[in-house]
Amino acid sequence: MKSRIIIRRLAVIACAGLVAAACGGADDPDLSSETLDSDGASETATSDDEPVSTETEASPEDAEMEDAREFFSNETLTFVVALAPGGGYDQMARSMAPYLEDYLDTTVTVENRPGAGGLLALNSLWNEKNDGSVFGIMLGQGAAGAIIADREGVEFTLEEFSFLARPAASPRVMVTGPESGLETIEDVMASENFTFASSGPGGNDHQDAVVMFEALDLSGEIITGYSSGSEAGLSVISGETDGSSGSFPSRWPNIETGDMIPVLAIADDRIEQIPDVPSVLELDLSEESAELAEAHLNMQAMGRALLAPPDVPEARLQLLREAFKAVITNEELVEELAAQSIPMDYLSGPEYRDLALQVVNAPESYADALRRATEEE
Amino acid sequence: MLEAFLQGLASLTPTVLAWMLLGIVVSTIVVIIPGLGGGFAMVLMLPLVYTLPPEAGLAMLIAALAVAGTGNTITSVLFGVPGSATGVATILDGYPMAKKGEATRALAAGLTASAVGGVIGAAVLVAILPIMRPLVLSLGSPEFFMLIMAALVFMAFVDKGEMLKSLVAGFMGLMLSFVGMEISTATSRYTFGSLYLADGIGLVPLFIGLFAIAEMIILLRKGGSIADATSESTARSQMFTGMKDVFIQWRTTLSSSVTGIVVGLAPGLGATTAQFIAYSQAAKLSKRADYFGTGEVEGVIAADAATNSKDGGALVPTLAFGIPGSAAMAILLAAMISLGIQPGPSMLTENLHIVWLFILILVIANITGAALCIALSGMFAKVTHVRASTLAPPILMISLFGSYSSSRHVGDIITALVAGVLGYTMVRFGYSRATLVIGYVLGILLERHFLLSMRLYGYDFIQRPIAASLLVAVLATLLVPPLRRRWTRVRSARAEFLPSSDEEARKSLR
Repeated sequence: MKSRIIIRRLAVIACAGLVAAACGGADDPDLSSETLDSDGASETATSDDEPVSTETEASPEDAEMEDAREFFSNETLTFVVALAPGGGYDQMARSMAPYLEDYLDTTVTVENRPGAGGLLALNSLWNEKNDGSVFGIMLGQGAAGAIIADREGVEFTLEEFSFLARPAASPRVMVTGPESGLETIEDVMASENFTFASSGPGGNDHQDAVVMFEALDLSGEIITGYSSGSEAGLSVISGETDGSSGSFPSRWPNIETGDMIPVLAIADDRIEQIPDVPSVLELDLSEESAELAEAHLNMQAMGRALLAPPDVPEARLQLLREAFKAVITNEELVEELAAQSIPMDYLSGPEYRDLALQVVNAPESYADALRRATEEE
Repeated sequence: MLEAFLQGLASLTPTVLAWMLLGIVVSTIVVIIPGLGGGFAMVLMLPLVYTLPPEAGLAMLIAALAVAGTGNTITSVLFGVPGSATGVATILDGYPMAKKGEATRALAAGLTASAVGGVIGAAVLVAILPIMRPLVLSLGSPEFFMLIMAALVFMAFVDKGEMLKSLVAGFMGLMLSFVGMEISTATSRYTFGSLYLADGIGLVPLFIGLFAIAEMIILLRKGGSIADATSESTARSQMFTGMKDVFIQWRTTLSSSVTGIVVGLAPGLGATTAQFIAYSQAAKLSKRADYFGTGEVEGVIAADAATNSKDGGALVPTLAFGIPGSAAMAILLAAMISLGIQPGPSMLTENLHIVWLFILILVIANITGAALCIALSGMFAKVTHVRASTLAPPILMISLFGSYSSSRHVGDIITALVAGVLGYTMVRFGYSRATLVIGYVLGILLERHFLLSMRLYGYDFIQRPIAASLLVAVLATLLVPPLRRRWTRVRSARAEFLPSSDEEARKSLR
């Protein structure tokens, strides 16, 4: 199969012009923070993958499944990407597409619909036809954040989407710069004026900052206005600010070279590559702070979302879920994406929907913290 | 150093060169298509890159990156349609040149400037290798703020028509750039509750409207063809003139290339900024400043040299810190890491040969890409003689497709059409579109870096050494010429015997 995929890709490149017309998308001149920051990948260790999907709904009749299979093989499917071409989301979708085509014996076109931090794509997917021929890779964390913060212009109800799977979610890490003189989370907590570089309210790094400042009772300032994780990262390295946060895979190269010092794993457990760095749950937190931290970790677990419009016919939904499970756990693909620093972390559709429900109904204290941060700025 | 250079040279095997050539061809084709840029070309290649030997894969990506600013000159000059967001400033003088029947000269000059700029970018990259880490770290928000302010101040000189109209257009650009979400506070401005406007007015649809659509309206009303004058010189002689222009105007070529590199060094300034800063600067410093915007070859050179030289600068934060400044650099970085090449200090020690390989490919790809396009340009240029009624409909269609393809949102088509009418009206009443786009591109960056500087340093940010020097340089450019004029006048008045008029004093200065 691999050689077939390579041949197909060569063909794709050979007729780049035509494909460009079909797939669309402009060069995004500014690096969306997503590429580096909002997430990208999950832990390299995927050993704790859920063994089998736990669909509870009654499985449709064989005849219906047969119909669904026929439907997909006769239809050209549209795979919507919520961000511009070139980012991690786009790469993931384009890598998945050929495997999906093989599994469903169909044709898949990838379509980028960037804008408003992924919300435009969510709105458009919400209004798409729900026959199963249109689905997309969305920003799960961004979607949940928009619902919690009552963002203007949101047209969708998150839990009513058809949840196909979560392909990946990555742990995040808080880092400091060598110039800051802060080498552990204790140093950060003792610092009287800790400056944290972040994009701004709504950004993943800003959510990290708000929650960590509140839960760990840090004193200092969140410096907003960095347009990307790159810019915030450089300010930490140069000593302009003391620290920042980012997805672990995006910060790992800087940690390896010593340009950044990891001080806290914003994750349920410690991160394999940096075993000496404590996870936020290990810290001695008050009950309220622990509640905040846990809500934040759930939010982070939202990661990337594979969604379809609401009420996709049951048999087709099940087939899509099966197809994505097979694709996401396909070893060749996992290897291919791992090479691009995009490790996978599969969660089945129904489980993912449960997580989403939990997140949008987060404790008031968490929602308040996020909203307050927006108002204060 | 020499050893690493030879090692880098040795990695340029025929296989590597062949894949590099494929990278050049694919990227050139993609960037010629309106609305699609170099980042997209790299995405197309990515799956293939991982199946190749490391050097070949990297060569292909670097080559694609290097020529991403080359091919878009073609549509910019011929039709006023930006091939991608990095090719807009070329339109400002390139398209008027095409109208004068000098399409081939503009293409040759722009493409040669791209190649020369790219090579200068690579050369400077070599020169700053040893100091690349401290260099990047010495530039922060205050420095960027001053750099952008300098460009905005120079903007006023881009249009030599009526100062007031020029300012009005510039302010319109600034106001347009403030539409959308201000990131540091998540405040929506002028969005009327629409999510479409949350990211601001789209760069690609706005420019396509302002230039491509407006120009097609003008062309259709006027009739005839784009090139209304048939230049006496043949395509071949135009081509040589254009190529020579780049070297005759070596000051502009060099200073624009350097500006491109400096902008490239800053991850926060974005890939589209370099061309405009270089263009404003050339417009201020050029002796033929009065002709900018009317088909002045120096304007084309300034824009194109900066577009390609910025890649040399942009590689620095990527290689030195593993911090990519654009989507294209992020793709390159991911490829490097997956191939086991760790960015950071090791790039100067055990991986130095990789850096040399990059530099060599930058040089070869820039020259090859430009040569490829120049070879075709004579043929393309003939299109400017096609009748308007035949040419305009397909161009309008391609333009609208180009705007839509950037986000697949119908709002982009509306933006392009509204911008088209705006562009037409501006031309009709003598307002400069150049000042508008410069205000639009730089306004939001100016604000962001000002706010960041204030948050970090308060008003003390002006005292940072590099920021202060930039400020002095701007003030000097603004104040010295009028002061000198005044001084000359006073002196000549004292000398009494010279019938010195203002005009002559000015001439003697030039």
